[in-house]
Amino acid sequence: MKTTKGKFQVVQWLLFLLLAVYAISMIYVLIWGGLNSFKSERDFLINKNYFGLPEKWQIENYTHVMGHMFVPINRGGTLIKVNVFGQVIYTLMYAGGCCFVGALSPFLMAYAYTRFNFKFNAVIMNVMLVVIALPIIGAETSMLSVMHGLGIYDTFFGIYAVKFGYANLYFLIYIGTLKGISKEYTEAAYIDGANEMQILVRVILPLVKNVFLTICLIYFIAYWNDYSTPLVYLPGYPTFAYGVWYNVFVSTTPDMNKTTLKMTAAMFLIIPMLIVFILFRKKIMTNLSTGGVKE
Amino acid sequence: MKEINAKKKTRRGKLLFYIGLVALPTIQFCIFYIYVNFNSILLAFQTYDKITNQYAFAKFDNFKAVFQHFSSVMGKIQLKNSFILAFFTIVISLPLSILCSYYVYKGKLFAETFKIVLFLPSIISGLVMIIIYKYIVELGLPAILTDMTGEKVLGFYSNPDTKFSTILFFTMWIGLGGQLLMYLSAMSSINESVVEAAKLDGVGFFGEFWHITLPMIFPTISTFIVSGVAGIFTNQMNLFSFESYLAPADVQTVGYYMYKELYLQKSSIDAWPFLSAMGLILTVITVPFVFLLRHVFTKYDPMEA
Repeated sequence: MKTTKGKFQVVQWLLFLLLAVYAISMIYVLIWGGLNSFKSERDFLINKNYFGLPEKWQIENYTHVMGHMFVPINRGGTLIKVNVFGQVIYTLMYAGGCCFVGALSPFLMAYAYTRFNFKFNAVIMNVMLVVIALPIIGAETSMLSVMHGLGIYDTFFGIYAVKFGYANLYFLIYIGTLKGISKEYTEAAYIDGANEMQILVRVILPLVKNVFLTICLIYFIAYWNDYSTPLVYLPGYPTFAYGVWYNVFVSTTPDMNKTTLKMTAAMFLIIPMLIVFILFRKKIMTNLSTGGVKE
Repeated sequence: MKEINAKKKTRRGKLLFYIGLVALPTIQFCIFYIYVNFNSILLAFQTYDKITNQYAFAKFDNFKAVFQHFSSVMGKIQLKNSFILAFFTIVISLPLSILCSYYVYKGKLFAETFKIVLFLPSIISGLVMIIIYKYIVELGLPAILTDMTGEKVLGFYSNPDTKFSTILFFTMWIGLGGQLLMYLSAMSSINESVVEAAKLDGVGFFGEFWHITLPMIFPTISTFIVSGVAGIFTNQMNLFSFESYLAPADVQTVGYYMYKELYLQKSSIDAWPFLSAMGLILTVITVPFVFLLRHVFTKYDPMEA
């Protein structure tokens, strides 16, 4: 093999430059948004103070958004305005419930697949492979139709049922994790007289707890930021992201129709997830792999 | 005899527990995958009669409407934009993403900081980044360029000549760290002894990447290339976050059009058959390409050579 060390060090430095520019741009965009969220409309638009510090720090932008970022919905023929508090509650219900069922379903199937030797296991795996391999486009309208038909459209139960699918990458990750658990644990539990439920709850769950919680966390962040699914499937329960989208792009009410207030609303959406990321960074960025969890 | 009965009882107990584990996910799959997709095919051949409030068999009318849509000016633009987006995503963004992941994997200067920054778009809502990005490219950057050049520079977003490229740039910028953890995971599983042997042969940074890392993570790369191809007609390019349902025709992609129609027609039963037919046609077009690509990648996997 030819010695390429000297010649291709250029690639290393080019990558460093690309990543440095990227990192600076990413952080700067967030700082820019944050700074401008504290400006008055006059300071930002009329004085064209796009890049400087606020002439006066408008903390009231945040209290104004908290008090005025409504989403109007039609519930049973009555127009209701859902405030920020309501949006956060709906977000916690949406993200919390969906992340739990999304992490649970592949775990149940992976546990059944790895710990028991029934013929249905072949179906479980083959179905998973087909689902991952086959790209199906445009089934969303049919999903709407089915949800309406079952009477679960625009309900949390309905959205949880939709998200309770097992056929995804996390099924393989659970299989890898469960295969890494020695059978001696369960054999010792059998000898002690434990039944299957006791083995699952007292032996297996504590051992896969970290993987389960990591997957929950990843899903929670994704669902916290997701507005497009509630927009279509859960319109009667606007989430916080839905509220930001509505007030930035749709609403024309004077209360929120200001550029700086829209950036304030955007900052509101980021802050909780930045806190979650700072607290759980190592867990979130752990290398989940089919061979187990790597730190 | 007692032993046989005990074994039967144990096996029955295991079976019941097994059924308890798999029942709900299996039922969910049957309803929300099998039945939903079957219903999608049925819907594609139906039309909704608003007078009788019932679905009726519509032969291939919906499919004709879909072909008419894609033969129209708007449909052709959507297809063109979808392919342009796929090209930039697969041919330009994906290799850059792999290289950046490799830089982080090698632990070079500021690698840990870059890893966190590359991961940030997975944490921060794309909607938020779009809101801020729009104002920067519309107000901030033009102001700087106007001051520098002395000539009035239009907002990059509102200017029809630069709107599409502005949105495309955002999609690539925000996607640079995409799949970072997956690539890092794949690279981490490369046997260290192979790397050490290559270093003894005098292989440098890029040489190791080209001769060792790329071939060994080829299955991971091919998975994401196949996903990129499979997503040609579903990728919205974040347009709904940029423009809601009001994106001008010249920047729309097929994925955006389908989601926009889904959102606008979510209560319009009569519109669902057309959208189902569109989905079915696009699936039928995409699936052979995806399988062909998969076959090619499996056949020409460098580690199998």
